[in-house]
Amino acid sequence: MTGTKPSLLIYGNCQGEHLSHIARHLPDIRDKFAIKIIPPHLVTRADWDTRFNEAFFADVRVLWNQVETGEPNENRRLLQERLPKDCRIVNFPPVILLCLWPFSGSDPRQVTAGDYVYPWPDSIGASLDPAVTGEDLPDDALYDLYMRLTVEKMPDLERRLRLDATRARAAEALSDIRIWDWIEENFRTTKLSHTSTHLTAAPFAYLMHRLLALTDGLTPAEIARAQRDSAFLARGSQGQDVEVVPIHPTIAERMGLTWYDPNGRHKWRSHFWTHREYILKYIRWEPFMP
Amino acid sequence: MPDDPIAPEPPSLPIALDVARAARADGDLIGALAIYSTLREAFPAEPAPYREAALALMEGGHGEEAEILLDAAAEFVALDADMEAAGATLAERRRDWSAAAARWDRARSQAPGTFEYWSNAARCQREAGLGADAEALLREAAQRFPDRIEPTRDLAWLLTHNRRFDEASAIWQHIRDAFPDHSLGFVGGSSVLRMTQRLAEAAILLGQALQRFPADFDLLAERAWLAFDLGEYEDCVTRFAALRVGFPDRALPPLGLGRALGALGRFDQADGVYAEGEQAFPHFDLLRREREALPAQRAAWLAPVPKPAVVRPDTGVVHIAVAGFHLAYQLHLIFSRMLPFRGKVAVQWLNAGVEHTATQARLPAGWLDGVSVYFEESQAGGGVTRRGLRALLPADCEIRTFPTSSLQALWPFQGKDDRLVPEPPLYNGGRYMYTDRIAASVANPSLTDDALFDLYMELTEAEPLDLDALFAADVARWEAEDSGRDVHLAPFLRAHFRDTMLFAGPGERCAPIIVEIARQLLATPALRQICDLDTAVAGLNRLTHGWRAEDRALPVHPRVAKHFGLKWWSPDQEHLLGHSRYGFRDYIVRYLRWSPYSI
Repeated sequence: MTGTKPSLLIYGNCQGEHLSHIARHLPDIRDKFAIKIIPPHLVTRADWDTRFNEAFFADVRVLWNQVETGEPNENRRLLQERLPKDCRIVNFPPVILLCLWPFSGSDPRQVTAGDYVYPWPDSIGASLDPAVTGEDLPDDALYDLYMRLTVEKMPDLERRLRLDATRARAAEALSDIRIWDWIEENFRTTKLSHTSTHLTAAPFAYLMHRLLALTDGLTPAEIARAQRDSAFLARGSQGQDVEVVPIHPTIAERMGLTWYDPNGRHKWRSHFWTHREYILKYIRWEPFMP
Repeated sequence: MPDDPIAPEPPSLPIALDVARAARADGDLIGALAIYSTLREAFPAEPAPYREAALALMEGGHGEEAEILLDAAAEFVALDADMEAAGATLAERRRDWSAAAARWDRARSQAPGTFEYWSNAARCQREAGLGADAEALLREAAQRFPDRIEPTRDLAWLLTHNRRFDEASAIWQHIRDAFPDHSLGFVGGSSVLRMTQRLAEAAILLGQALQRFPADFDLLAERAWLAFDLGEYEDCVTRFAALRVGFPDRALPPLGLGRALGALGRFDQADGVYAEGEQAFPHFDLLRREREALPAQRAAWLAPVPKPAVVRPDTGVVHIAVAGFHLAYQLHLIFSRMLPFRGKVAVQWLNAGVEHTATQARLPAGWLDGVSVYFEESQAGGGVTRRGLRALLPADCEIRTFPTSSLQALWPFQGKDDRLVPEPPLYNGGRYMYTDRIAASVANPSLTDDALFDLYMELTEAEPLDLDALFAADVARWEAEDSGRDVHLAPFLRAHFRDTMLFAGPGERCAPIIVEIARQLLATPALRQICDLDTAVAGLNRLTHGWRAEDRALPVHPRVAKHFGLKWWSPDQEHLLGHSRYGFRDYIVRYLRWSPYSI
């Protein structure tokens, strides 16, 4: 039990974690609920016997549940088993924009990485690592090669967008909240995502507004105030900007991203790099400062 | 025989007293005393001629005669409070604390509304060894004069000196609450924390206090003593040296400066400081005593410190230790990650915030025995920690020290804002760490954003500022911090202050400064066994390309930016606050409204 307050549990990936972060800033939520989070992508089986045992769930009255399509995995089964019967559930979908980073695949270097890592893989970039090719080209030649290969292998981006939409709508079918139409209407004119799954402040404000409206245990006045506070916090907020993966200039052009600046600098931990600088460092797996 | 002429009417007492006072004012002590003598004969029951004659004798340096006169007066007149006070003062001069305490106590009985008599009586009681009486008196005085800080202050000091720290601490806290416009509650509270070795808490308390009272001598001196207690003797030297210049009429700075110089082994300089202090403050006996103790200190300092035998494991890997706080941590990451050093170095950050024994225990066994290069941040931990760490190093280890730095001139509106309080769990150190006294004075929730901002701009534009003097103070501090260290930052800071953003806030160092420190440290000869200097510097530049090292940013006011001609400044610049970024106007409006932000 956490004091005498009931708990609001958020079950979700890094987007769920960020929603919990915002919720902790809202006095109306903070005063009413103890806020708990289960990030299933980081949870091990042992956690269900320790951190997330039955006692953890005893005071959970509200669940903000990020839905997943497909068969429930073990984490979700355990979640469903342990939720109190009277818990009110608000289902919301994840937001995933793979179409803007179509080369994300796997990068074997992530497995052996030491004290720093580039966690957003780019399969073409990885294939150009001098340690793999045996040749460390000069910067200009290496970037030109990357650009040539990626343009050659550029997939049909509109089809990729439709795939993202299909996945999103499948998740929305399980949800109380819809966001994909809004994403599609706005992603060309407003930056909504820093990586394929790390979002800017705007989608979070959109989700939070609706999650609050559907949360039992809050009065209409408290909901309205929390929504207003949430919108206020979103102004100036950068969202999940710890690592910003620059969008390929050709993709930005083909997708008609009006906000895109081809010379813009993008935050990577405590650095700010252009697309070219990022790609060269990524290919060579160069160290950076945290 | 003609009749005796009619004797003239004697003057009235008030007129005669005025004539005597006039004589005193003219320096005619003899004349004044003659008049008082006549008046005592004419008005034997009046206390005033006794009292004023005693005062005149005191003024003339005849204390003993004044006391005799007052003793004699007691046979003829009832001594009033003023006369008792005069007698008490005389007794204090000859250090007869019992007599002084008795006289102050009688003065207090006769004029209980005069709080000074209470304080003085208690002070003399304490000097006379009557601590319990003094405490009782001060407790009563504190109740009787709740609006006066002095009795409560004296009580708190009494308890502090008697090492009754818990009680003292509670009273200092009360003083901070009841007298928020006084720095004393913070000074005393910090003293208690220092005396109980709670140095980190003292630092926090003083940090809060100096936000409110940035130029308060007692607080600044307390901060300097804290540096001493922390073993940050260089910092202590800098602070007391600045106080000696800023407050030349105070005797404490030479004392603190001398002690800090002595702690650093700079005994000749300490001797000079004490000697100057003795001349300026001949009655401040401590300076003489400290100076006399210097030879013994010097002998102890020169005694050899045993070093461990050098047993450097032959691993082909250069061990680099970087001791200090956040800056040292950042440098350790740089040296760990530079490509030319890859596989050739083992770098450890030695946290100066913990005891050296704990640091040693954390490291792999024998790791420190193999250290070839030791970089030390100037603020690195207490003297015990620093000396303890150095004592663990091999004798041939190359040691290089580097300064920290800060900049105040770009943010001249910093100052007290009562809204700054810890707000856990989101804003543990307070919501807006850097406070703005102008904004604090105009924060008015009923105004619109535009009106608030306009008012702020109007007031900040009109505020008298000497920005060049502030910058000169920054430069002087940079130079003082460079003194005696291997890395020199002042020339770099002066050269690039206008064309490069070096600080994002007063204590917020940006990447160029850290890179410059790293660049200078790379010149350490022991590192040449890894690679040549050019290769090392190229690796540094490559690693730190596009690096900002930005934790938080405080906007520079357009007036200040214009004054200094800052080339890197732009009115559209965004400033990092928690997890958000705001332009100047947004930031100011949010600050004025003390708005929350996402961390």
